[in-house]
Amino acid sequence: MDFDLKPEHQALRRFLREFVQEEIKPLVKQIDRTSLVPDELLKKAAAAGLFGIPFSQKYGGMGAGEMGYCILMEELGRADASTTAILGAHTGIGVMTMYLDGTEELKRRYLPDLCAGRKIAAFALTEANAGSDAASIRMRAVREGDSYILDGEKMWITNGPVADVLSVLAITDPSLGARGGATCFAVESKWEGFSAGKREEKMGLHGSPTAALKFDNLRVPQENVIGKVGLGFVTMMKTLDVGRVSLGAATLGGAQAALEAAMQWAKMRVQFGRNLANMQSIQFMVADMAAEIESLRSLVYRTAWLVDAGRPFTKEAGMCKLLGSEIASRCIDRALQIHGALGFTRDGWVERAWRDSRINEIFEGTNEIQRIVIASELFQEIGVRIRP
Amino acid sequence: MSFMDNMNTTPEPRDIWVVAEVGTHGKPTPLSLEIVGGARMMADGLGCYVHAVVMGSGLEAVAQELIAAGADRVHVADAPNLEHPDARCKVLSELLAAQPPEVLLFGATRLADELAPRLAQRFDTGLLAHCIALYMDESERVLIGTHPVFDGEYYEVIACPSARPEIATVEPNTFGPPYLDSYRFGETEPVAVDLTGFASRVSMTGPMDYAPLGVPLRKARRIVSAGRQAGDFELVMQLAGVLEAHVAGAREALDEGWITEEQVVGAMGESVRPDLYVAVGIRGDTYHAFGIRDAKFVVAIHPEAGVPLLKSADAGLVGDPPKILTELLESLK
Amino acid sequence: MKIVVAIKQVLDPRGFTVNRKAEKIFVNREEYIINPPDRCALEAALRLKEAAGAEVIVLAGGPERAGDALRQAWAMGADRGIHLTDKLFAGADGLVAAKLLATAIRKLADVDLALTGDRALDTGAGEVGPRLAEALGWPHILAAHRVEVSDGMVKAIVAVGKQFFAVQAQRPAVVVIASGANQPRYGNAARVINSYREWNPEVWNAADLGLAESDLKVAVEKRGQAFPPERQPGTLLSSAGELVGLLKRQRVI
Repeated sequence: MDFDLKPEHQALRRFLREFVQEEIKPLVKQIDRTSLVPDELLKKAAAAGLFGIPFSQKYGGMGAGEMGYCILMEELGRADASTTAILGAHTGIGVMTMYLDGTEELKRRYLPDLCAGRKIAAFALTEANAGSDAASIRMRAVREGDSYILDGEKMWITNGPVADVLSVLAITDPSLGARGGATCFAVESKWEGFSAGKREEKMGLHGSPTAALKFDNLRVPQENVIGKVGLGFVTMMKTLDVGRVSLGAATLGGAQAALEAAMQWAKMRVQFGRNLANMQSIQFMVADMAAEIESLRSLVYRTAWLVDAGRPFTKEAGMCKLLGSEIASRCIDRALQIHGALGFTRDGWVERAWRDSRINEIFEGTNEIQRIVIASELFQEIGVRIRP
Repeated sequence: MSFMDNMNTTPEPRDIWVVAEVGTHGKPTPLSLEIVGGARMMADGLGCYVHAVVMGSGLEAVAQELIAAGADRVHVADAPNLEHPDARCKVLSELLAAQPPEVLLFGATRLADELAPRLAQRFDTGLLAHCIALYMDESERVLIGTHPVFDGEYYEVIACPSARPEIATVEPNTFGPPYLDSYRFGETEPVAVDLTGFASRVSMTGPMDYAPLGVPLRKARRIVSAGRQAGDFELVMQLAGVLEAHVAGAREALDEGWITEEQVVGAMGESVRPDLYVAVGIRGDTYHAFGIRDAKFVVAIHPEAGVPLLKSADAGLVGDPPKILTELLESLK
Repeated sequence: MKIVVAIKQVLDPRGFTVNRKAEKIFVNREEYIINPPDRCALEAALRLKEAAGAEVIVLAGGPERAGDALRQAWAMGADRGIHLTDKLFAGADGLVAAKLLATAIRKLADVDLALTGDRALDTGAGEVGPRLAEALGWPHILAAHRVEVSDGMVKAIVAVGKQFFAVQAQRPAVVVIASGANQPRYGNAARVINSYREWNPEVWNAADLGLAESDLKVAVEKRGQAFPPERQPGTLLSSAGELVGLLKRQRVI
């Protein structure tokens, strides 16, 4: 068993680490304060290939697979959660839906621009009445000739206000509901009938634009159906599944950065005649953080390996997201405690990370849903079917 | 015939040669004199001679000081078209081919950067570059040089045991000031410079205006930083200019309106890792100390003797910062 | 136009710490990187390629791991990467390195420019550029910040002290790029991946270069290490003059 990353992935990590530390990290405070990830930065990221890391090179992707994508998300997570959210929503779920289930023709039409960062993607599933209960979406897609007319509203859509192409789930057969009667569509925001609401002002992730979306009798050609008509819910769940792994990687990066920052502070801060590093209470916190991070690291990269190897990974993906979000929250919270008042000021680093990390336990499927997913998988293995 | 005439017709590498440079007022640079002095000490240990070579124009008064510093013979190549490094390279290599040195020393200057490696390659020999320590091991009769690596993280000790000449470029303050003896006897020998038919393949014009790529504060090699007690921020900026350093400050400098947010050094600002950090009027609490934990050399200037930064700095000066800065600017001229 | 860039792999200084008191180097993480000044040289070459069209060929000597440096250079946009490797090249000093590079450049034929970084981090010498020029019989330019080519010449803006000058040299020439002259590009993720999947550096050994052991005699040998003086926190001085003296002695300025 070889636990080392393959040489190309090691090289990819070095490449990404350098880019993120040089180009993104210095802008972190500014991004949070101005609620904006600068266009300049996104252009540089696009030129470096950051918008298409996992996808096959035959569609203009970078060909690094899920492993490479997790490496990207970890490196981004170490620096800035807002940029991570933009790239994560775009790559991990926005483009991924088309990549997993789109026709060859659809992929060739959209993926090159998306992988090159010339266009940005989003994933539009959630509605006001359908969060964890995703199956109760109400958006309709009515067949009309050789197209579908979409009508409805989505809510809390990351990249919504800036996306060029969105993967959208709508009900095509109301008698069946979402399970069996929903279809996935690739929708272009420039089409007549699309509008984004005001950008949400959130607790954290200020640089990541999120909004409600309105689809007002928007015509979508039938060529833009992703996957099979009626089986859109399965497509979306499949995408969310794999998206969880990379979210685990992002939280791993955030937790790691928190640990490193806490240790640097513990080295320098002297109270009662010694530095914090020489106090057991701090040592225990640091040890606990490191142990959790190490276990998360093994989990995330093994799961990425399962994905790339074509093996089942739903249970592990749920664990990545569940543990990752909780470990990151704990580590960042401990880091805040170790930093003391410095952890509470907006001029420091920890405060922003603390606000940014809270959403991890909620979006991409709440941790409660993750527990249900994991339990379902487990019981299924011994013959018990759990109704969601 | 001069008492020093060489009776051999086949050149054996011998003697210590120094390529001296001329500064303003047509006199040898302090570094050149230092190296001639160092060469003198080595030559006395080996029982050989010291030669100095000077190239350029208007060199009438140059030999005297070189002889006082220890040169036995000064070779003067005085010609109008000797500005270009490759013209000097030609003249020097012809001279040295006719009289091959055992040791050839340069000051670590731009001219040396141009000439020393080319000569080393031409003579199929080694180069001990940027030496901060250099001595002749008399038992082995080999020059031992110490030079910084990884930007001075540590040093390497090197030698060129068999190839000759042994060529070295030497940093200032390696040999220490030379002993100048104006009664010392030495000869001056003009070098015939024939550059007919020689066309330099490189031409240079200028100086010109050019703004090089800026360096962000977190990567700055030198920083001068102001704190509450800095007194006169103008002086802080002047010092930064002279040292070619970035200007920064502790948090309170922002409150004083001297610096911008991007220039704050500390836990609530930037962490820096310069080779030199001059803290003017900064107390140095943990929050600031955090920002300079990776600085290589910290200088603290503060009116109060008991402040934390004076206890941790590599060098501290207690006193009125504007006064100290004025003296510092004077000393750096 | 053919441009050769000579690069070197050095130990990543972020992976080791020096304990001056114990006079020891602790390598926490042994990793190798492209010598940062050489990345500036490669960047300069790639900009010339974009401006004037050129084939950029990267040469690197060193053990097997130097292949990683060449792959990274290719990922940045170089067209060819050649690994100069042989038992006989081990321990090469500046003299031998210049001979190797000159021989390789002559073998490549019709090379217009050779670009190098201004020093190697692990030797601090800055000798290879001019040595190479001498070995090839070419002119050289030092401390170049911006480089252009036109009608058989290479033009550069060059730093001398704090000033800048316009320099012109006939091609073929060696141009030594100043550190910090440019911000080297990162490359592209697909090329990073492909540099390990579909690409391999060419390998030239002593026989390929027609070099025998007698051609590769090293002149400089390492005798040991030394360490800067231990830091003395809390040192108090009495005058500005004393401070300047200390800074000069400690080689801080």
